[in-house]
Amino acid sequence: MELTQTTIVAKPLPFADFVLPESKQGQNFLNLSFPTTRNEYWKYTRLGKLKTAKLKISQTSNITVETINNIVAIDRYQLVVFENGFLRNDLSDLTGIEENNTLSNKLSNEYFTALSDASFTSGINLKVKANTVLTKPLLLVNSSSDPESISNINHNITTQQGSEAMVCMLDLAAAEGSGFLNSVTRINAESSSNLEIVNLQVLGKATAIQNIYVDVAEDASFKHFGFSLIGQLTRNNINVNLNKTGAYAELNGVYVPSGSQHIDNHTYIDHIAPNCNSSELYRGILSNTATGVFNGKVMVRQAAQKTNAFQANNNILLSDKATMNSKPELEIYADDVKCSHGSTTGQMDKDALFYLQARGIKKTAAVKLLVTAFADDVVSRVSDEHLAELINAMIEKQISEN
Amino acid sequence: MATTEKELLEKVTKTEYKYGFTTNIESDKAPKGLNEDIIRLISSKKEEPQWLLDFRLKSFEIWKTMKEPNWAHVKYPKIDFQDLYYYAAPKPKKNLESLDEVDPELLDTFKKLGISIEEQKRLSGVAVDIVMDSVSVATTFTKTLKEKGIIFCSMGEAVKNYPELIQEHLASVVPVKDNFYAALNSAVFTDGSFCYIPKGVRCPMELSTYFRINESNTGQFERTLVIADEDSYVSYLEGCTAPMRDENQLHAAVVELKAAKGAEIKYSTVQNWYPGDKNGKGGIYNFVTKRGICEGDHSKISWTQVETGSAITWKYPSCILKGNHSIGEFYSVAVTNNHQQADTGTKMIHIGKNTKSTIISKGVSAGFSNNSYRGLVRINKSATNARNFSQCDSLLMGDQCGAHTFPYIETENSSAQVEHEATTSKIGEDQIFYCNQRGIATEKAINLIVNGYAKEVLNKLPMEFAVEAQKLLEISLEGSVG
Repeated sequence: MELTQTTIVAKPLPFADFVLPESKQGQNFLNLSFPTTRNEYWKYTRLGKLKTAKLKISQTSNITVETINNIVAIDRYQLVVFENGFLRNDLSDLTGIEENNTLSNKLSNEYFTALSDASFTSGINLKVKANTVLTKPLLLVNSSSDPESISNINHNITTQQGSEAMVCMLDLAAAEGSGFLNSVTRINAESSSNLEIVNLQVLGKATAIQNIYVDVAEDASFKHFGFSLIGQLTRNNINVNLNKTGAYAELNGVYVPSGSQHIDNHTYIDHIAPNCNSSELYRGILSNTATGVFNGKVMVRQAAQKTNAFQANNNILLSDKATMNSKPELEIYADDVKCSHGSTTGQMDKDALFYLQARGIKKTAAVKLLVTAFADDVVSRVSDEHLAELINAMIEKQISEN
Repeated sequence: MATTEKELLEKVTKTEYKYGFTTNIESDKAPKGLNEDIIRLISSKKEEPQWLLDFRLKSFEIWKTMKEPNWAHVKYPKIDFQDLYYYAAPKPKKNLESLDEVDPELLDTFKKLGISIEEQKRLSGVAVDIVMDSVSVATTFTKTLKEKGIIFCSMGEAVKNYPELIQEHLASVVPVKDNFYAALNSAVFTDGSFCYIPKGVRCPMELSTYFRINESNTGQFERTLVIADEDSYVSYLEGCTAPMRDENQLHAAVVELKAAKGAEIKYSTVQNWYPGDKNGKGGIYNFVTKRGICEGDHSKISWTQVETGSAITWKYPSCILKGNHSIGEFYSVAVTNNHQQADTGTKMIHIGKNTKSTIISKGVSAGFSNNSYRGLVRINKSATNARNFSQCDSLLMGDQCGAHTFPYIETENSSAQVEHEATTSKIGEDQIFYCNQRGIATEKAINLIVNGYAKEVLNKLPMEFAVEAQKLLEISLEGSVG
């Protein structure tokens, strides 16, 4: 064999250009390796394309109020807009909100959290003062308008003792845009506070990875709704710690992937303290060659007696080429608990469909009706009726288009 | 209440392993360790043909390239595979015509286990193939079976008498490369059972094998192969007890089932190996690969297991539903106490059309034990109208134990219906109170409740086993409440 001279070029780490290598957050990130499907946490989600994607930081001002208004009527909200990871001061009302520009001190071993922590460009710090109610709900827009942009966003939300807030998070990719949205949201629900987050994802061809970390204190309640309507590759990780007695967490979601979209929801609820309740309801409607993933884990620590945890995941496959991977998990170390989970995957109820058709409703309309009703079990839990109506309409539109 | 609970818990943890004794039968042992020479030794001791030796050596090569799996929810010190004996056979190796020729001490052992061969022979009509440290000592009822054309013998005999059947089917369901322990077993398996039911034959009796791990420090590597030809039926029983030993013993068995068109195999297991003492010292490591394939249309494989023993159980009896309209079933009761760890469940792979599977898993954990259900239900694109129902319940007794559920549900066909549900709870104080009120002592009430809880699975066991299984549950758990 003839020896040829070759130059070995060390492959650059994905995203290494974006982190601050001298910071401890940067060091932490550079020590992690890119997740593959061999990693149990990423078993069903392939990130190959993201690994090789050519991305850049880009600060543009393409998003207009109209773009947002077309999705959610903005007049009812206090609007804060981020485009490609940068705050759009011109569109945002920052009353009572600070721009977040400090790196988080927490070093995460989750790859994308670490990436966002080490390279984030912006985010908000929202503190809802003790015993107050956020009168105008916040509409927090994370948008991507450049097909090659990477947006690393870090938000911090704290609801102080006895306060109440509702935040609508809109993850948006401008029609022609794609890019990569990587966001981290850290939430601290202090004692006796109530926080509800409704997350709408209209992400077009973009890739979005979202990590949410929540600490719930004594008698506080945290509700999260994730509506993943469109998104080429969406991954949501929600991690909730129920730290003190009486804490409550409710996680809900509806995902409607179509085409070749892939939507992956991972939830982790950690029952640390006794007498805490949690409830999860995730529903999926999958068409074409779409794939859906649900992985919900409930951990009940030894001290967490009198825990009540419920989890349900129901899926409808509208096409033979769609795939659903569901993995509900329970890990329980306390005995006086009530924990259950259920997972179903199937198709539309044929009898119900026939019943509607027998009454002169066209098949397509009947399917739409049944699927919307299926999703409505989740949507109707949203406390803001206007928003619930809007979401129902969006889901219906999404289904009729496929 | 609190004090009595504590007392009861203490009482349970003090329930010693009932079947702890060692039989003093001279044993023929190969030196410790694993290498090609040992494999050649095993093969020559068993007078095996060249092809089987080649199969073993090839498996050994594959095994050397593999890594121990570590994904299960169990913890144990690293096993030194070079510190184990891979071959041990009871010495008196004559061909035995009748039970009178069997070593009386061995017969005594079976009596202590509550298995009187004569009794069984006469009364229950069960043919027992006794596997004592890897070599079959006695096979009964062979004649009756022979008339029907059923082959039921030790793997060693089968290799000698029916080499073409073994060559065709060995490792066809569980390939050598399947996993670390399957490869190890393929390299060093010492004996096991072979069963063949010819076309259209309904096996008239329950076929049964009693396993015992007797020699200290000998890994037991059983290989079982059950083949049911077209339209046949067989019910196969496997029951195990092992003597008390301090060092951990490794058991890595492979069981392969094949059901042709219209055939049905019912495979039942009662596993009660030494679980270690109440401090978690000793006990058997049970790393087993069990898999059945429903090859033909309308075939059926049913696994029923009652797992009460072993320090560590790592076992997933699976069904590959290849034939159209084939059915897979899995019924399991797993009980862990003290420091036992069980990671068990099943895999149902739907390939054929109109295939059905049912999974009922009942876990009971007490003491400091951990009990996990891990299962996969996979509906392939080709599996139109597939149906699955899974139910995994866990019962916790005491606040130091854990119960976990890790189900994987993968659906690729829109006509499939897949349901999974799991619950975890403890025995309700109100349930106990209700029984107490009616004059039933707490301990008895718990037995009652656990038995009722496991009934769904126990009902699936053949009569002979159902009684033993119920006793086992009582021994493992009596009086335990959290």
